[in-house]
Amino acid sequence: MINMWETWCGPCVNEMPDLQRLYTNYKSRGFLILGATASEKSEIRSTVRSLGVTYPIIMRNYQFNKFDTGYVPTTVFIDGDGYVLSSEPYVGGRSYAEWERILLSYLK
Amino acid sequence: MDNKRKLLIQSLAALVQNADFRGFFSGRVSGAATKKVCVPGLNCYSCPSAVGACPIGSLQSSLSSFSFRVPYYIIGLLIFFGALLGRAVCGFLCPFGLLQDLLHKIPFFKKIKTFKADKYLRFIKYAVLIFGVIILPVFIKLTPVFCKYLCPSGTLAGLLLAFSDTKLFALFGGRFMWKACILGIITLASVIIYRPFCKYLCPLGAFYAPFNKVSLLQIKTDAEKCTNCKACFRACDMCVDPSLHPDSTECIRCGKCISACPEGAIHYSTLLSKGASLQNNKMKTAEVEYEQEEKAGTD
Repeated sequence: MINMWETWCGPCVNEMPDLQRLYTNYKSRGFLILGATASEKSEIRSTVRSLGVTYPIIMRNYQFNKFDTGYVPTTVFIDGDGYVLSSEPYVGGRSYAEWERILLSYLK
Repeated sequence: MDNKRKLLIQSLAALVQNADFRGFFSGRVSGAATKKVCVPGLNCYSCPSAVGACPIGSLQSSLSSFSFRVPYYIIGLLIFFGALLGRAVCGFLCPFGLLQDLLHKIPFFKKIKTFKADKYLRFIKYAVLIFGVIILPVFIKLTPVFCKYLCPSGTLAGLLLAFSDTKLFALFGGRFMWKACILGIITLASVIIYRPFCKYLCPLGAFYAPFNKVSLLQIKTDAEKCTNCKACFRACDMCVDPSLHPDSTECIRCGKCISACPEGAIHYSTLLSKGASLQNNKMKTAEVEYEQEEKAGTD
């Protein structure tokens, strides 16, 4: 899962604890979350520390254009061979139950 | 329009735009399917109960994305609201406008209606729209400048979200403190001055303002009935004189002038019946100016 987020975005930081829970529960099945952001590094560090996020955070740049919807959070799923799984990116924050349902549909 | 009816419409509009109360209990931003739709007023997407998207936030998000695309949907929707209602959106449908209205009801020993720099400060909102919402977000990628550094509605939404999910308080840093100061100043100023945010800072109000001249909903002053007593001007909290400028860009169509007019000369109307009214008003303006000149000449 590539989750594009920003530190100033309420729905983004709001769903991050749920994403962390999802990562903790499913990483044993090969599930990985990459949080992609263009925010300032100091703000990223304090946000990640405060929310207890342990999944990798990467810097977002123009290479993410193909997934860009103009909104954050935007999330896409990519399989182990590099194929994009979702026909449309997921726009907006979701609850743990919603993300789990989506994830399980891909893990099947 | 009486004040109670206006307040009822405003409250209903605010409730409709914030109908998902579950967010306040779950500490989650509402994920309603309707969030793809922009609401007409300033109502932050991040408010736990918001069921729609803020048009100003959406506009900046689109303009500041890495892959630039013209946000036809948002601009089209804003033009639609503007063409239909003009700044009546501010007067009746904006939840942040309602909040300022309620704050202004708090008694204070001195309420300020206008002051020297008032009319100049009102231009700031156009600068906020042009620079904070359009130009800067286009050039500074992934940075909705108005939302990030100024919007008090967003700050309020952030606070509400943090009260619903207290661990978010730990994320509040310097920028949030800056925005909290702005919200504090606007809150205090709203007690003393009527709708300071709408008058001086709101980019959405700036967008809708020019539509007052061409929107379907209009306020019409009947020059035949008008006695030029200025009761409407005295009643107007936005300092508009509807007897002379019923289509002023500052008018939020609240209808206080309609209630205040002892002759029943002012009423809501549509653009279709505006021609005669404008002509009458122009004649009236000329008449008043002539009378004033004549008076000055006699003196």
